[in-house]
Amino acid sequence: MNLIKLAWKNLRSKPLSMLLNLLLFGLGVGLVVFLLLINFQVSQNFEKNLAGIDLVVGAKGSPMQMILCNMYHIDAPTGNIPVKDTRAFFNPKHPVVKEAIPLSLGDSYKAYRIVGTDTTFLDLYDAKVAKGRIWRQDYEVVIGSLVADRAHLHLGDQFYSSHGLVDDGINIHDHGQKFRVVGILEPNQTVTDQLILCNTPTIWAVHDHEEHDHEEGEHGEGHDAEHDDHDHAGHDHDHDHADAVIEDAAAKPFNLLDHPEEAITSILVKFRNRGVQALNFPRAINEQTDLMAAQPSWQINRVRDMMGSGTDMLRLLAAAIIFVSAISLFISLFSSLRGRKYELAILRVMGGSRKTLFALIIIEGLILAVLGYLLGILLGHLGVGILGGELEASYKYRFTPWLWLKEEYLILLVLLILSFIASLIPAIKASRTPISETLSEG
Amino acid sequence: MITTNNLTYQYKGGAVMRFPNIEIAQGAHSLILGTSGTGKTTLLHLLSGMLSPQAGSIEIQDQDISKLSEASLDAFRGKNIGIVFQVPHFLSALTVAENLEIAQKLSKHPINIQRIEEVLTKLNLGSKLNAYPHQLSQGEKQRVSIARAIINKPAVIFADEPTSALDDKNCFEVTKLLKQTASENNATLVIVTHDNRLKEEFDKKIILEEA
Repeated sequence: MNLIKLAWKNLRSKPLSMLLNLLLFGLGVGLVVFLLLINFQVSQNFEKNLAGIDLVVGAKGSPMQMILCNMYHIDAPTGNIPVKDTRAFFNPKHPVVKEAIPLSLGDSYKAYRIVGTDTTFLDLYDAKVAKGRIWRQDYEVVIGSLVADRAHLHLGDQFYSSHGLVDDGINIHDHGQKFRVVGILEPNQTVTDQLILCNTPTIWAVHDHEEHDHEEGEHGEGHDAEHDDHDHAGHDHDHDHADAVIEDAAAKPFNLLDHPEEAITSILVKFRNRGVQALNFPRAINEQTDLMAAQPSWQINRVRDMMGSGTDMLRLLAAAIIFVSAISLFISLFSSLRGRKYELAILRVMGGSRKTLFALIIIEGLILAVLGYLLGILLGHLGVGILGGELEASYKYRFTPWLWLKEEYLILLVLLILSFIASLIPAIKASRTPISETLSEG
Repeated sequence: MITTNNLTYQYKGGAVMRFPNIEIAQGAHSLILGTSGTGKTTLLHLLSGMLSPQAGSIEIQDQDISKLSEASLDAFRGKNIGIVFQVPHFLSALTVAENLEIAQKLSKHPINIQRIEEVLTKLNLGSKLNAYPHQLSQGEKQRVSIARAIINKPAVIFADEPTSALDDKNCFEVTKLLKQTASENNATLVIVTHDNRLKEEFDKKIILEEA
């Protein structure tokens, strides 16, 4: 029987008061932890998906919308841009552009976006194929791990896409050709987890059946081959890499610029360096061409600022709840003193000192803080676990509750300090219990 | 051994209380008698170090406790003095046994469950080990408070009106237990009371008179 045990038993003898204090602390801490976890993961999502992209080029419209659409895949495209206008970006001798990756959007499967691009897109996000292989032909797709999980797609599965980026169940392209899953990516916590990737001509093919036919002459062989080739490609799974290279080399490699009359949605651009030329490059594009250029880092900071004001309010609320918890702790400790002045005096009679009484009350406060903290941690993580599903539905980003942030230690520290301060006055009052006076009252 | 010399105490705004010099031999059983207002409880609180006198000395076990600091007094009291109050107070969140444990702990004695069981059994409370204070009858509470007073084998046991709330049967039983346990532990027993039923039970009596 030591002071900590005594403090615990004292608390337990008033379960309702303890429950109230725990709930208040738990609620406040839970809210803070929830916000921290979500905020951290959203930031991490933003950071990781920046992927060294210096510029996004697309149709004129809202730059933020373009960034959200083409980098985070959560907004609609601003429109399309003709391939012929993009020639400069794919010039390997361009003084500013080191790398340009074309994106074509417009279709989805079960609300997971199908993105037509080239294989450099995978390198951008450091995405690795876990099962199967990279696409080689039209209508072959490589899917992100989240898509595989949630849309229940496996290697070799075939599906029709729906037109548009939301799954409304109506605009399904149920004629023409099916997409076929040839590869599944390793999860890497970037946007590739949630995408269905294929080559650019596939997107064109889905949308321009007629044009597609008359185009065939131009980028023909590949297309033709692919139409009849499905079974054959099926066997390809087990072929080793050398075969693939030979086969690819045999086909005429696809070159975007061979199709000036087609359109794409955007280009992700990496700069050679961040010199003055690069600095002026976006403005030059915006002023002198029909294209729009936007810098992801700027736009993301704007998004964060906007989100920030929302989370600031919640943070304020959480801080208010924690503050009220501290006051509640103070009140319940303080008001408990009157009821147990005899007990406090008795502790002195038995040899306890003023320090003993002081420590007892402080320990009671700290126990409540620690338990409230644990409850809060549980609630916060549980909240992310439960609401994470809802958030995933709208952001296609997997929020995990299995994450420990160092800020969570900080919360404990803050809570301990706060409850120490809240317990201070009751503890001092307890330590001043006049034993003789109290006990002669009978 | 308890010796006091020219002991005076004054409550704020009250008259100065002068107490007769007392000398009680180690192991003796004595009674301090007086009607209310004669400062019985004040004297007991002075003797047990719960109050400090304005003047005079109190020697217990060759230690002048009037010279001790408050913290030293707490420690001294825990180690050497057991007190039984008129109305027994316990730590309500703890069981009977735990109340005795904390008494051992606070006086820096090792926790000794065997001793606790032994004392409680002697006081016929063997079955109340795990009972909570609110589950006890008045007589049982008084016996538990005796158990608590002697758990650390103190040199002195003070009892403040231990019998005034009890009926005759319980009164004599408690007195008997106090004397018996004090003897067994070779403790000096000092009972402060106005309960005349006890007069016949004790040879040594100190009578306080109104100032």
